[in-house]
Amino acid sequence: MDLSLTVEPGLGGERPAEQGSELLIVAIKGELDTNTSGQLELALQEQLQRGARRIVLDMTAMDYVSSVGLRVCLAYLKRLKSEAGILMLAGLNEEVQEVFDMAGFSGLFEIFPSLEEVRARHQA
Amino acid sequence: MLLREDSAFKIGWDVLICLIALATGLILPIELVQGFTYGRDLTDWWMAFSAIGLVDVALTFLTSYEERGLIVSDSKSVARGYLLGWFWLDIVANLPFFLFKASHHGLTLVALLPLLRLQQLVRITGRWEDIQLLNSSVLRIIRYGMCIMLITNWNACLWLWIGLRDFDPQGWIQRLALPRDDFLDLYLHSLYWTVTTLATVGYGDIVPKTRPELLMAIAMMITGALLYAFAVGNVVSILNQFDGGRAEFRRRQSAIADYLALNGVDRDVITRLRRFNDYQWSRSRGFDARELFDELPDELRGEVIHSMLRETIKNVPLFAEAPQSLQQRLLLLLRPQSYPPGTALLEAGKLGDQIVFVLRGIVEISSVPPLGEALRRVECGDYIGDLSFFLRERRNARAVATTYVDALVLSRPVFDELRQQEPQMKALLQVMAQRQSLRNQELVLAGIVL
Repeated sequence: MDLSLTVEPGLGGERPAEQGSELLIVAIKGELDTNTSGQLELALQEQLQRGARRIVLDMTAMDYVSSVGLRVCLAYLKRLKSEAGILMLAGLNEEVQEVFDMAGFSGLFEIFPSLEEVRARHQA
Repeated sequence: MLLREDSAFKIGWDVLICLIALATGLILPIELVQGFTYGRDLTDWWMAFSAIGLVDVALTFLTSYEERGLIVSDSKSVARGYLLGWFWLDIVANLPFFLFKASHHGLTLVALLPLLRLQQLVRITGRWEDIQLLNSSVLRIIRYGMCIMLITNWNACLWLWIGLRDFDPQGWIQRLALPRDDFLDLYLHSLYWTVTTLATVGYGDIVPKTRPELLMAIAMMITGALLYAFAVGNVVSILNQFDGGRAEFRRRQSAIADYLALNGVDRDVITRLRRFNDYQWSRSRGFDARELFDELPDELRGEVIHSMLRETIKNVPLFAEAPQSLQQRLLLLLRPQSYPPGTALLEAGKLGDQIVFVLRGIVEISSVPPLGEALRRVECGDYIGDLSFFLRERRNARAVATTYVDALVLSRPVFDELRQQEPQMKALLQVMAQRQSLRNQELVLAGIVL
């Protein structure tokens, strides 16, 4: 799995200047499984420590999510919620979307069809 | 619009017709003996019974009936069928022929014609069996009871008639010096003699002496013997019907246990197998429903299974949320499975290839040994196996039945078929998943895949 981190400042909404209001985009490529989930966890941990509170997991190029991957997503969703942050998902392919749907998790996350829609929503 | 033979009105009407037929079989012979002896007419009741009988004939023209599994509900066919069959017997049984009298001695034998109503008892009870109003064994007992009552009564009447006809001045009534004007007392003596003879008790206080009496006694003893044989045969057959299946099941159980013991299977395993089979028996009476269902067309099979599980599936959200057509399809395709206590519904280490919907009983989800920690209880209406199924991963926990569990199993090929053919299926599972969300969050966060 490859991870690419992009920070898009100024897309935070009402108070763009405030720390943590920037939209942090974490693009995931390949499979989010036992071997690769650790990298994502580390990256998220690091960004949280740096103050990121609005995170988008861009899954456009991700073709599989395992139970461990789900666990990382869930754990950081809960953590961000408890710190008044938000974890969004974007660009889920059909298989990945089905996993979230059938596990009953799609209602927990804000899920967007594409990254553009996340940007559009948060620029509005 | 014809009347249905299983409508409440028709069933109530048939009960009335049965009572009239039974009253005819029991009271008419007594009144006839009285009438022949004392030159009396029949009571007015018989006119009323005839009138009701004729209304029944008219009603039969307006009632659909079943023939070789087909409902005949076209009025012309109903009329033709009746006219070519029972109509003539019914009309003869119910027209008031007893009003015709021979000029010199009151009643004639045509007054016996209403006895033809007795065929109604056989026809109506047969119909009740067809529409499942009464259990067939119960109906056999009722029919046999009526048969004994009627035969005993007719023999008593015949014996009384022989005594009253004075074929011989030394007949049984004279020998016992019974007053001839007390008809009830005479009938009771006659009935008493009939019952003691038919029952082969024969106290010997009333004995046949004259020729007609001897002939009657011989006939009665033969009838008694035949009734006995008939009774024993019937009782054995009814008992077999009630318990034959269980006896056969026990024999089979015992043969299986012997075979397993012979092949060194542990006694504990054999006992568990026996308990499971006992449970299965309590649910199915040893009947393999698959045999029945395989022969049925899909739609009828769906309806039968749906009716059988109507109460159970009310508590299962998968079915409660599904439209009726999808419910029936699910019931057709999902595999019913029972699990005895202690057996795994889903085993750890295996790839998620099925989702199990719990219909009855309690299941415990536990982590794998050596920890073997109980994680959660699952009850009626819940389902398990979904995480490993949709993630296509190996399970790292197991689900074990703590009581007897009845479940429906959705395998992957069936799921794929349903998803392709039933567009509502995916939406239905999504709704279901929302209900399981909290449980799945707990499991996923604890690193459990089931």
